[in-house]
Amino acid sequence: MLFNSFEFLLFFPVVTVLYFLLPHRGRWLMLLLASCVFYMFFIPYYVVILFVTILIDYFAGIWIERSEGRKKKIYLWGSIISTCLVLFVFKYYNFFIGNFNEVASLIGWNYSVDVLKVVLPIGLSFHTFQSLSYVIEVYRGNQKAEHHFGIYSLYVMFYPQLVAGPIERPQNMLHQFYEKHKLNYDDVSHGIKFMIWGLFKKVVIADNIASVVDAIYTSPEGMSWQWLLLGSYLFAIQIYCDFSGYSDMAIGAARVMGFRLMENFNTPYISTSIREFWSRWHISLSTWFRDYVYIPLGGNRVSQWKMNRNLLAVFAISGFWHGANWTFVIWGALHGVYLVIENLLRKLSWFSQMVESKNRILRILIAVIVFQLVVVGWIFFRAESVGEAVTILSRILFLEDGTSALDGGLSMLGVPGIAWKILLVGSFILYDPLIHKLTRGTYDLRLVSAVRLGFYALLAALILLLGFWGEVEFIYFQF
Amino acid sequence: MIFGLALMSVFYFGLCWLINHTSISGKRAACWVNPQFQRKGGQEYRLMQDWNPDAKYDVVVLGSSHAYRGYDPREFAKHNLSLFAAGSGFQNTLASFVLAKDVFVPKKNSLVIIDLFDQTFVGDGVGCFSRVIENAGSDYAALEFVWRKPDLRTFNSYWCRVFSKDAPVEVGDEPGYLLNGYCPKTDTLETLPAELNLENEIKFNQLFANYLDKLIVQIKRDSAQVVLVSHPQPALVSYSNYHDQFLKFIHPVIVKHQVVYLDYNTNHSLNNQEHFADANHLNQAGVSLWNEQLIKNLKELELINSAE
Repeated sequence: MLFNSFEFLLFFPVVTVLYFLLPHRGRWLMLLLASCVFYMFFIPYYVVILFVTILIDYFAGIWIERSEGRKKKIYLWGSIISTCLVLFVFKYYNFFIGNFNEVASLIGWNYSVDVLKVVLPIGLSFHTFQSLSYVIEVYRGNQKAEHHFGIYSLYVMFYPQLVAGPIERPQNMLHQFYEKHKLNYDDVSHGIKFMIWGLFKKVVIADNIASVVDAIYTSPEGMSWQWLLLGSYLFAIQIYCDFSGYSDMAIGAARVMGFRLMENFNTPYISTSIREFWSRWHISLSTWFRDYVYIPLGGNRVSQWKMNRNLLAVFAISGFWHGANWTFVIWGALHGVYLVIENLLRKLSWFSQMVESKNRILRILIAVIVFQLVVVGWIFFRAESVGEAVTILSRILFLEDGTSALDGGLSMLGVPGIAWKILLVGSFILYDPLIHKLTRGTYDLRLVSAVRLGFYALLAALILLLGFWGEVEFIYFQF
Repeated sequence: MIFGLALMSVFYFGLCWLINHTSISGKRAACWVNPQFQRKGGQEYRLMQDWNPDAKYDVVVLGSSHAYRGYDPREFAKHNLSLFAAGSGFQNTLASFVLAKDVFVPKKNSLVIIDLFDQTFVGDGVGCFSRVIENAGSDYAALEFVWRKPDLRTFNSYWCRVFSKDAPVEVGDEPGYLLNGYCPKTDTLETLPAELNLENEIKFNQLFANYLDKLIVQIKRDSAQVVLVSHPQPALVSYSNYHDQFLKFIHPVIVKHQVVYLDYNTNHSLNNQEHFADANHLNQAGVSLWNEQLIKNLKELELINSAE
């Protein structure tokens, strides 16, 4: 089920009302069943795959807690390998086979392995990582093994964050399923604000500009540099609004029922360094990699050379997590390179002072530069192949002329249609940081409540009227 | 809560009024800000204007663009039969049902051809409603779309229709429009269309099978006759696979109503290059040839009579 669907408009209030009407002891079961329904809207029988990973990690958690020494380690690795194996089969098998076949044909070996014809289970990477964080935390002794199978299943399947995160930690989530949540005005009000703002970002901004981005990226060869640049900037906003919009809706839907999910985005495009960008972008994933990959590899406690090597490796793996394509690996590795360079430059005092400067104009200028670097990465992320990304990048860098996008797929939108979308994005960039703070209650305009209500009523009206409604999935669902 | 909803409604209708009363480059702002809002005019508008509710058409064709590009009233006139091609862009059976019920109501003993285009049975089908809602001759029909398919897109399209009632026609007729809904294509298919990607099972929407069932009941209730027809498609290996899956899907409805189904989809002797305009439509040469065959078959089945 999609958050931006008519079905969810019915599902959400029904589940929420049932949640508060039921006695506390029956709530977990209702939430679990609701989560199954939510998931089964995509491909029903894939719920079995989810069940298998839940089963593996549920028992692994208990066995890890009960054992010591080598045995404990064996259970941990057994769980990690079997959980990742499911991910490998569905997500990465075809990638490796494809590369193997290509290499085989290059060396003249006339042998080809068949690829699997399977559809990737929705959100597989998300709930795999959430399951892994559970077994690792149990292994580390930071979390007790969950003996209630239903509660553990709910930890993996809790519908607001099931298919696209935030990737939660057991310490933050598991205890919340035991807490008795009461219907609370503050939670409902905050939750709905989050949901409205998230939905606005998704259906009004992201889906509105998707048509321009798609038209430009469908056939970028021969398109003029101005259009390619516009398409790349718009994609940066599209992916932010799409993914952070989903996260906000997830956080809001959970909050209405009294659950607190972790923040996943914090206005990343105002970052004045790549390091800051990664502390603001997809926070639940970047902290996952920090806690479970980067720090175990030595973190900042190793030599500069090893630290840089680890950074590059972690970011390349993070890119690979996003998708089984070299474009994602390069996107991740590029960010790793950025961070290595940034770490080296931070040793120069003038650079550190500049990055940490409180001067507003300077900060804006640096944020603009950082944004350009991030957009270069997004070109690889959005392109169909590495070759296509390189073509786009070189056309932009060498200011190459070509055809106008209006000659192709965008002709239907017309100049006023495209101008409207640019206006929509331009204004969004200006008000996003303010509304982000307002929805989180970290800033108050001290408006009378009627004006505040009016603002959210206006947002809701804009969502209804200008939103793209239909079968438009979230970009991150594919991961 | 109630105050919030009231305020939201005020904003919603206020904005709706604004975007329908502001014109940019000869188009209502509504059409620029969201493609779900369609311009007044075009094929759907012309259909509604040309339909004469008092006339008795011997044959009425419902369906997608096949219906308005593939059935030539002049070919039928040669056999003293009047035909109205009531097709609209990607019209599915739900849309056909509403239109047959509220707009293109067939007279007693006339023949209604339901042109079945398999691709209109896939997806949620809402995309095709906007242009019909904007241009429908009857307010009731426009409202019925909202009732039959409760969806924000149909809801929005309806209110845009209400607020753009006085707006002038914004787009002219489809190029090549002739008469009684018929709008042929004159091009020829220069390159073969790409094969369809059919690795997975096609998900046909049961809703449209249900509405096909309702549509047949509705037409029979009007004492008209029904025939199901699938328009010829260019020869593609994958297309016959696609169509085979479709045949299995609608088979229960055909059996239930014992209705005649003339399937010309792959069963024709037309030539890809000479008789097709594109991957989906016949050109005039193809229409003339195929219509002759169709009329002959309809006569053999005694579904039409003509005083030749």
